[in-house]
Amino acid sequence: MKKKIIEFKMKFVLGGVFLVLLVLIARISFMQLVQTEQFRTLARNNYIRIVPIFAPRGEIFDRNGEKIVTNRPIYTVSINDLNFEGTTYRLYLNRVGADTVQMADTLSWVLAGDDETVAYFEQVSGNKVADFARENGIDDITKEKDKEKVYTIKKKFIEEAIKERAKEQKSLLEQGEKLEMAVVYNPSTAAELRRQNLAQFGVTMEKKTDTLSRLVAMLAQANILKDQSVYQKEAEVRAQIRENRVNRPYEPVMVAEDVPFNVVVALREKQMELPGVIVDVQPVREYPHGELLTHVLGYVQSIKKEQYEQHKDEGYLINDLYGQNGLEYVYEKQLRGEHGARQMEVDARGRPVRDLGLKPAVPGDDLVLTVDLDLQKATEQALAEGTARARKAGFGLSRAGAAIVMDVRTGAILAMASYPSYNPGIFTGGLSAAQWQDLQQSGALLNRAISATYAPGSTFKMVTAAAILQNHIADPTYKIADPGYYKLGQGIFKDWKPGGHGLVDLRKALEQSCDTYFYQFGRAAGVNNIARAAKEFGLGGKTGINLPGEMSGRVPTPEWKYEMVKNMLINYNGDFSRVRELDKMIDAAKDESRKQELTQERDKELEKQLKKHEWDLNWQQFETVNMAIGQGDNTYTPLQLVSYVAAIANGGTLYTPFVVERVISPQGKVIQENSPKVRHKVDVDPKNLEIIREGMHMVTLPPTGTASGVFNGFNHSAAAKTGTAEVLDAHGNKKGNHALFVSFTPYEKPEIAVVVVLEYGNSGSGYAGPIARQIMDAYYAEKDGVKKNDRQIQSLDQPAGPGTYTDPVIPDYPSVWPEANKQGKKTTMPDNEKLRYYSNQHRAITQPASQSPAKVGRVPPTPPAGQGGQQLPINKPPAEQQQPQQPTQQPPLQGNGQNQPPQTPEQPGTTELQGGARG
Amino acid sequence: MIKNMDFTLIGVTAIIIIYSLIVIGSASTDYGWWMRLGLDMNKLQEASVFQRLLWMKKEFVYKQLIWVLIGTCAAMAVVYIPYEDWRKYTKHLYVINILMLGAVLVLGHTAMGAQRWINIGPFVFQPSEFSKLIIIIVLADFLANKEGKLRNLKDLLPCFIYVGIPMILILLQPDLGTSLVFTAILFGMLFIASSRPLLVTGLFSGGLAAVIGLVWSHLRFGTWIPLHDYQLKRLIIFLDPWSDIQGAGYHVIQSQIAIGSSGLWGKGLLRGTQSFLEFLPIRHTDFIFSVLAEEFGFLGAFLLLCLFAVFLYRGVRIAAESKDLYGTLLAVGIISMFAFQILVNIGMTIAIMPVTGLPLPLFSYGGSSMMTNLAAIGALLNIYLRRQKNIF
Repeated sequence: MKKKIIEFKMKFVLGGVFLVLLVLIARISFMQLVQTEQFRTLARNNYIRIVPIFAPRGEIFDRNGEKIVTNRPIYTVSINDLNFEGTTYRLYLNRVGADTVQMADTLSWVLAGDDETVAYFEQVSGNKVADFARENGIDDITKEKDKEKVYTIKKKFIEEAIKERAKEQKSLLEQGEKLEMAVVYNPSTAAELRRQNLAQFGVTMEKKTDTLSRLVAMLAQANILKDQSVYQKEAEVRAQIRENRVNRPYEPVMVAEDVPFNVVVALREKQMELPGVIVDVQPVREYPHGELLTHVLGYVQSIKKEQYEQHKDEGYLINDLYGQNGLEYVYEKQLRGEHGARQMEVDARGRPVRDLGLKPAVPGDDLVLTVDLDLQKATEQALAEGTARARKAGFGLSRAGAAIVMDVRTGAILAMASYPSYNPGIFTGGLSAAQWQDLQQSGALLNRAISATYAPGSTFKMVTAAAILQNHIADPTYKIADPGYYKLGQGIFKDWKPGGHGLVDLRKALEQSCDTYFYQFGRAAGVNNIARAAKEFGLGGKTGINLPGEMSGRVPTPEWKYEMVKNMLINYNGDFSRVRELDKMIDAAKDESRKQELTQERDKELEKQLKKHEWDLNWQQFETVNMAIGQGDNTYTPLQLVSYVAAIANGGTLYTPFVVERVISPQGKVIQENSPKVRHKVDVDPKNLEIIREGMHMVTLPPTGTASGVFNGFNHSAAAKTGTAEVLDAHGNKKGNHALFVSFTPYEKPEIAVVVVLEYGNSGSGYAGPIARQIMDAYYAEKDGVKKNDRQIQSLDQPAGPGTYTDPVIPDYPSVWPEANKQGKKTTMPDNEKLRYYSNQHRAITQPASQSPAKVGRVPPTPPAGQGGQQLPINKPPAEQQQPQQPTQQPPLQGNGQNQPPQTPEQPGTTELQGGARG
Repeated sequence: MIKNMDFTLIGVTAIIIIYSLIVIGSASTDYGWWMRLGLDMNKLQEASVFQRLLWMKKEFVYKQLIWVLIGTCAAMAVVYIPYEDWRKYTKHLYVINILMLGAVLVLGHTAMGAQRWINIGPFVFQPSEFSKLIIIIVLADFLANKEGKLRNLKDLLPCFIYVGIPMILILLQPDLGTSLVFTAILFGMLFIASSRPLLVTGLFSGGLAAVIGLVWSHLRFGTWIPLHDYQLKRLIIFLDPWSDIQGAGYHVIQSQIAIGSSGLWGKGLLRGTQSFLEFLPIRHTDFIFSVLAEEFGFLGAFLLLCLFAVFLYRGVRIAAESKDLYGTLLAVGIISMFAFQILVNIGMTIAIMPVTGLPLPLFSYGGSSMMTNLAAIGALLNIYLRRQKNIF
């Protein structure tokens, strides 16, 4: 070939070679010089893991700076998704075939005590363990006493089955298959055990096993899986990992909580063998006083799905905590703090390489309550003892109650108790469905002080008294001669004291809780005046306390009654069937004019029928008489009662009750201060209030005061009023009496108001009163004894006092690994730097606490307006004094009474019936 | 004789090899090994380049160095025997080659799904590497003998059969990459030997189009192809590696991340997060270019490609200046081998070529490959040395 042709062709070869290099350079320069940032992000995603640091929630203190709610650090173990789910064991087969390995693998489970595998082998071999056992001399494999024998039999059965299978695969072995790699799906296991078992069948397992399996095996050995088996735990974690892959691929999955320190150390030592395992510290709620103040505090639980959806922009994590009730709920924003994060460099197996940075968590703000811890303790104890006393005296239904202590000068709540109670700590470990159900059924979740309403009974008489005095119905000194009953038309209303109280003026009427006096002048004052007085005192409306689930109760009025009865009639009464029919037709009608026509017809029909039932619909005089002594359709929360008594005590000021005095930052800076807020000035002449107070004071004095026994030997002055509200069941039979007691002390210069409601406590003076007395004793014991105010100052001056949550030390990654140790090098543990959650940054929170009690779900349902009304006929003075007209009214209404839902004990005041009041 | 040596070629080769030793050291050093030495990451961030060079894992560097020495000896042997004399033994070489490849199929050990290696004592050989050089030597003779007779398709057919037999044995291992190198060698040499280079180019293009069409029709209509689905998937995953992030696409993705994230200057020796923290697989062999690009950036990668450019340019010059067709064919075969492997290996790391397991010549860790390549360079030097017809 000619040289020239070669040279010519070589030009093409050179061109081809350079073209190849140019293509490569072009592509590389595009990737490295243009797409750099994009690839850098991807590289960072590879080697940077962000591990959240949970902020400790703010702590809660009582008014004296004593801790009520604090935090406890726990160790948690989680695992990163390293694609090991379904990680395969590489098993080397020495003597047997691949199928056999799978069986041997399963066998290791049998040896670990798994019955599922037995079933598998029964299926594979077509034999039954039972038959096999019979051949070996055991007739019944279910017998407990042969347990160990059966275990051996099962093991043998499976070994036989495997041998059988191995024979089938002999051909494979003859082909000289000495070494084969088999990949077996790993269902779950304790790895070491499996390795040993597999070895028996000539299978050696590659040293590298599934991290999760090893981790779970370790945890199981340390006994921290609780009642879960290794299998269950692994299955659970794997399921979670699978779920996370879709939406949260980088979030580690929690394997164990509250792991003991020695296990943490062991895990850290084996960090290299356990890639992807993360040991961390997480603060959880701790309640040093157990059940104390539970209902006010509320509780904290894992954030619910809908809460997460709603608040995910606020930095909540999927496994975050969220205040679910009480103050934890109301002050969630302030209490939660701000999560920090640790940025870690990890290698391809998820092993931490070094810390890249730490953003410390900012702890939540602390709450200082108005509650006095010692008084709260005394209150809860008195309430519990009081119910026990009532039960012991034969009132077996007495299982619940509420008591509140309020500072009458400010509206601050000093103690608020609801019985029964529960320990909020049970929520921190996670609650099982059964536990939750038990808790709900026990009725302990209900805060009876604000979320239950009760008939006030005679404690309402001060309202009637105010109505009488304000409207000049009777001069306070005007005396009536009490015959022991009051006649209204043909009806007779009896006083609680047969024979009456003799000559009675207003003060004496209060002192002895004379019904006749209030029947007479209450009726004269009229329902509207009494209702107005009740509303003046804040009854029948929410007090506005910053706690979720407050109920409003009800002041009955003619308008309310008319609407209530009307609705009931339309819905249930036979006379109104045509109205109901027309309503349906109106709904069905498409034509607008037809609709109008029908509406007109309906209104006419309705008017006609309503006229027929006028007596039912209109307010009757006997109802005013009932109302005057606090029965009928009155229902109020204990908190309303205490505000009302406080207003009487302080000369007519209704304060908004509050439980949180201050919100302070972890550094001790006051972020929010709640000062007393005047809600309303009661429009009652101070002179008249003075008269009422005198009457209430007389209640406490011997010999004739209804509560004189309660205050026997009391060193201070007080004023009080007892109340006993009859409770009827759905059929109008008497079920028992709620016992009520309202009081304030001292009489001359009132400081606190105490209200006690004891469900089925039978009598206000007998069982509710002593509880109040016990509380007052505790109040004075503390007041007269040690001055605790010093402590209060301390809590403000020393910011370290509140919020002293410090993380425990996580043993750090050893910088020298055990292998190096063998070479004689010293293992050095780097300084265990304590993670401090306190940054010097001040977080300025200026907006007030969010108040959204209406959002809380767990409150008793407000009874439908009609419900109380259904009980109208039986909700009146004792049966023998029924009005003659009554029977004619009853049939339509009684039938409706059967539609009532069954009564539940945890909703006492709201759905049960309230009956006559006796002093 | 010394005067006629191609010192540029020798110099470039030496620089590439020294460069490769540094990168092999870095690529084989990983975090797990590092930790066991008692060093930690913060120290690494502070250390100077010199310090880091000392801290590298030396095991593979020393091993490779030994292979370089052995390879140099082989190259010297190759240079010593005049290349014209090789033609006498081509038949023997061809048979030895077939036997060697056959032995692999019977005795070879398996790794990563292929049977490519033979153990002889402590050493592991990859006969398909040597077979590349052998096929160049024998094919050059075969073609040189047919000088001027390669006019049409019928004339070319025997050439295909001649190369086809060892190629099928390699395909059986299976080692698609090496058999593709055979194809590149064959067409490169046919281009020179044939009197109708356009026919050869057309054949090559037609073949390539046919393969692409076959694969496309398989994907589109499910027609038959001589590959298992998983094999095909591995071959075409480079088109969309993100479709299987954790599986077949993993290597390609991690390699791209390594290269792309480095920027102009690179992350620095031992500081490549992708390689040091082991996100990048098979670092010191197949994906060594990714390590180089990650740690030394665009400049480092560009430098290597320039060195290869000089190297290949010298190869082309040697082919052009050869005194006879046999020498030219030998040189062109060697250039084709190098160029194709560079294209496929680097192309694989930047997702423009399928992942076939071809090493980067003179750069990847691996004894057989290094020996073959150095012997091939020996052959080039031999041709250059004897370029003047009447030297003796």
